Amino acid sequence: MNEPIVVIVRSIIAFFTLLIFTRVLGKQQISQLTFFDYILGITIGSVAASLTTDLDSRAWPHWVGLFMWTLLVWLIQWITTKSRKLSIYLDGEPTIVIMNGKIMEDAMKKLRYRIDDLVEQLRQKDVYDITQVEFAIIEKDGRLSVLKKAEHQSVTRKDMNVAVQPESVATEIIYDGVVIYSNLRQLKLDTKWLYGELKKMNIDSPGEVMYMSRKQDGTLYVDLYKDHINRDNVTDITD
Amino acid sequence: MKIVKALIPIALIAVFVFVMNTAFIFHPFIKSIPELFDDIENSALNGDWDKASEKTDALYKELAQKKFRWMQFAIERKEMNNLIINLYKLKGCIKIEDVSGSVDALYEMRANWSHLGS
Repeated sequence: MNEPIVVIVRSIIAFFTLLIFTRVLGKQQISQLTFFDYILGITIGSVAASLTTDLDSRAWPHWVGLFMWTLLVWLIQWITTKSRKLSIYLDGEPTIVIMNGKIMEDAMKKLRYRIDDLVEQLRQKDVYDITQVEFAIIEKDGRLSVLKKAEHQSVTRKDMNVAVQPESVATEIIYDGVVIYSNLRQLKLDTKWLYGELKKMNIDSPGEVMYMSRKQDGTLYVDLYKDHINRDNVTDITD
Repeated sequence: MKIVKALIPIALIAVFVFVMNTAFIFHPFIKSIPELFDDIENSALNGDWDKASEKTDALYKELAQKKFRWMQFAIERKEMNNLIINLYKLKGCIKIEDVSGSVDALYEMRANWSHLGS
């Protein structure tokens, strides 16, 4: 047995299988993972690792294990999206630990959640005084959501009656010197307009541009490959 | 385009499943190895040790240098090692012209071969 070659082939199998299976499972954010999801991820990774390097067993049973774990995760995801009751049963639900400024001791006891944990997580939310909290909720992923009492909440522009422009997301027009024509068409613009704008900025061709984007209000952001930065004015933050 | 995008992962998975099961799928169709087992057994039982030795060398070439090359991705390291150990045991028995030892090693090889990749 040529072990390195077998490991290379098995690695390719495990790598692309994981890639395909994780794409099938969707784009659940890492920050939204519950403890069970986290354990599932570790288990699937562990099976994939065995598939790659455990040459004392065949690759096929490991692959079947990988497939089954993925199938079960997908099944749970499907069930929880179809049924709210099953979702609560399988994933749990958020728990209120501070309500109307009062600590819910019984709820905390059920969660085996100590007052130290609560205070620590409040500090992580920049709350150093528990009396400022109206509501605190332990989310399914274990993170704490905090609603401060009205008198301790930050003033917003709305509170001050300041008029604001709606924010918009910029659309990429040039990326790495290449014009993204589909985005240009989406913005109902053409190459004539693009070259005109570039000419205004003394840029001869899109190839000189590293990145160019346009906001809905027409504001352009352009970064050139040659930025002509005076090296003497560059702040060195390294050691 | 959507169909092609969906077909790529399906095709990849199909290739992986095939590679991981090549031994299981193809080894029942390989006739050369069982034929060599029979030839060696007959030669040993008839006391034709030169022919038995020649066929054992042929078996080694067929097994270790040809079949294991493409089967190695689908079988256990232990399965391959067991067959090679059986083969060397057979070589030793043929060298000392031991009929019962040769037949014993051959039947162990047959068993290991028949369970390969399953």
